[in-house]
Amino acid sequence: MSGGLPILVVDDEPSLRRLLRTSLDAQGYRVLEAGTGRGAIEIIAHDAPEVVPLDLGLPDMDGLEVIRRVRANGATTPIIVLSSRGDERGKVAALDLGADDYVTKPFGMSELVARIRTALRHRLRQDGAATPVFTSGDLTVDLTRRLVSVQDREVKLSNKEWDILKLLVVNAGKVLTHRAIMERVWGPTVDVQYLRIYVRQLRQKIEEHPNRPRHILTETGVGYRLATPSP
Amino acid sequence: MERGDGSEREGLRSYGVAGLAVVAALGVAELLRPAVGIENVDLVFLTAVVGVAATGGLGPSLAAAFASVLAYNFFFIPPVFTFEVADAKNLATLVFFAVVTVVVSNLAARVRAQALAAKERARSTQALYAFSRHIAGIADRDALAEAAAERMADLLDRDVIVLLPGPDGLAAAAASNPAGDVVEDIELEALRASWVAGEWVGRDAMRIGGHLFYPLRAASGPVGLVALSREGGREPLSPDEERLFGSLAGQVAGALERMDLGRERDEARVAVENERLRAALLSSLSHDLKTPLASITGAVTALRAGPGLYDGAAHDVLTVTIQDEAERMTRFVTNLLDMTRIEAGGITLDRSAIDLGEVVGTALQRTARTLAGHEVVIDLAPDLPMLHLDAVLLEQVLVNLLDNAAKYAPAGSLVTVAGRPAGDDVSLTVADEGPGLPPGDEERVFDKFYRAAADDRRRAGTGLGLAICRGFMEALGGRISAANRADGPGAIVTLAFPSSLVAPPRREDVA
Repeated sequence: MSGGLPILVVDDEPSLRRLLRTSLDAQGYRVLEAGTGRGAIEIIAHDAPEVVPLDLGLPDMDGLEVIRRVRANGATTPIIVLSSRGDERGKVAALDLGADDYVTKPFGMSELVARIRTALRHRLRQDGAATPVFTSGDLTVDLTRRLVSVQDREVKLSNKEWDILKLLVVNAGKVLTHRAIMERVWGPTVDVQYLRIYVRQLRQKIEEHPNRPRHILTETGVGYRLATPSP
Repeated sequence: MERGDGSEREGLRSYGVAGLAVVAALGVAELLRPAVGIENVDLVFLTAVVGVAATGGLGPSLAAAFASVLAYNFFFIPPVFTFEVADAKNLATLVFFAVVTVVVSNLAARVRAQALAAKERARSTQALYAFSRHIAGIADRDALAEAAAERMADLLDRDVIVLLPGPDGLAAAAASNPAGDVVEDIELEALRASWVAGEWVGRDAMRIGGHLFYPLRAASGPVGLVALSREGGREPLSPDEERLFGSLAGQVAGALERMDLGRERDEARVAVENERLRAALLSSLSHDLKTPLASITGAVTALRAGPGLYDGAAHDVLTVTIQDEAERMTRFVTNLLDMTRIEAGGITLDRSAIDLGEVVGTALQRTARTLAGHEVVIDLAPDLPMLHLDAVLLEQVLVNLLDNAAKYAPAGSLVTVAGRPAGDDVSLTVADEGPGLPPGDEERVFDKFYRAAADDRRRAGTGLGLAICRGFMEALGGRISAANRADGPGAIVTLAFPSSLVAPPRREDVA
């Protein structure tokens, strides 16, 4: 109860908080709770939780406002938005404001735990470099030697394809919005159509079934996520 | 009044023509005198009088008759160049001539008047017929009032205002000719009072201020009023005008009554349909929410009642039941919300160039559990263009179609998702090997709460899936249609995207 990494659960629904507390507690985390935006901002400032699952619909302020204030205060705490299907704009807005990831309600507990682990992994790695060699299933990406292989066969990528894949590998497991990818690969003014064309090409090179991808996953209306090896 | 001036000028001209005709007759008679003798030249004058009567009417012809008698006497009957008559024989000739010219001019003028009246009747009959055909094609009260005002003003040559009752009582003007004309507030007040009091049921006309008011009377009673300007026109209307106006007003009133009846019938039909949908929604709610809730409650209470009572396999069955039923409820609530969004017109599109293959992929990923027992084939043409669509909505359309395929087609059968360019358009189809659609239901399957058969409630789920597909496809600017497969048993649903949705191609070698 006291020894684990602190997680702050922010949701105004007591039953959902109870569920998260129970399951995350069982996973060895130390669970803090807030039912309001103000409470959340205060706890983040004082207790420095390692990760924050945050509901966007809070009684006292918009969840997006919470993200804005937390980031304005300089805190880099990973925030995982608890969102609903159909609110893709809200998800993108939250990610643009500095949220790290999201899960869609109703979500499976394993999904939330996977997002929390990914967020924690990236947080710990912020100081050091990314793992130089990424492996997931039949895909291996060597970041230092700029090598990509699928089923042990080397795959040639164009410069832009490599830039996109590298960005996804560095952020493996985390969602990246279309805009975030385009800004870092092309600059701010490019059409999302370019990105889709390159992703299609990338999938043709590294996916066994490009129409049913297992590595580069589509987050509809939001962006892309590189699958990480299941533990 | 323009028309008054015109007819006055017309009359003067007729008298001029009468004078000229007599002068011409005089000349001709002078020429013929040596040949035919003075007893017979009177026929020349008679001819002139008949001619004037036929073209100019009674007045000019009488004038011509009078002038002819004088001229005949003065120039031909001795002693000439006097109005005296010396011979008794010639006096008789002159008297007979006078009588005959007057009678003939009368007869000829009457024939002319009848011909003119017949022509006028034909014109108004034709106008009435044209008008009745015109208003038969009008389905809107305001447009009808507009047409009525225009036609009445044209035929009666008066300013016309049509007043129809609205939700707040009699309106100041449903239409007018010339446009913008209204009745005075004080007149309107009096009219409203008399309208509400039902005075127009038995009243034929009313004069208030500068207007004559007539009711538009239909079989069920007055349905509106017409105001005619009093300025310059005769009062009351002439019998001809009365007849013409009566026919017009009758036609307009009949058409208005039909519209009102039609609207009431439509409202009744909508009410019945709403009632049906409400009943369907209630039964769907109670069934589709209560059934999964019953399963979940049952499974959870079983697990809690006997910890350790259920072995691994039984435990799995219970927890899988809970998960499946919870997901079913989620789908149901999602459907209800989507349907509500469609009906409230609350769909905001987030369009961007999307890759059909990518959306098919995510839809299949979301339906992986329901489609686990089926084999899915993806058959997308390699040269499919990107489409300007909202990926989230299209994905939901595909998820609903795939859910349907999973529900209706037997396990182990093939579900095919195919994408093809169709001319400049693009089509995407989802085909299954299930029982197909009941013949004739190809359109009805998109109705809310449609179920393929009354007894397959469990399988059919909410009955909203395809209605949502249609709503979303319409919002996206595409079309959706369903049919039975031509190449074997099973249903095929086609999503058609017009070429206007095709994103302009981009070169792949972007800097």
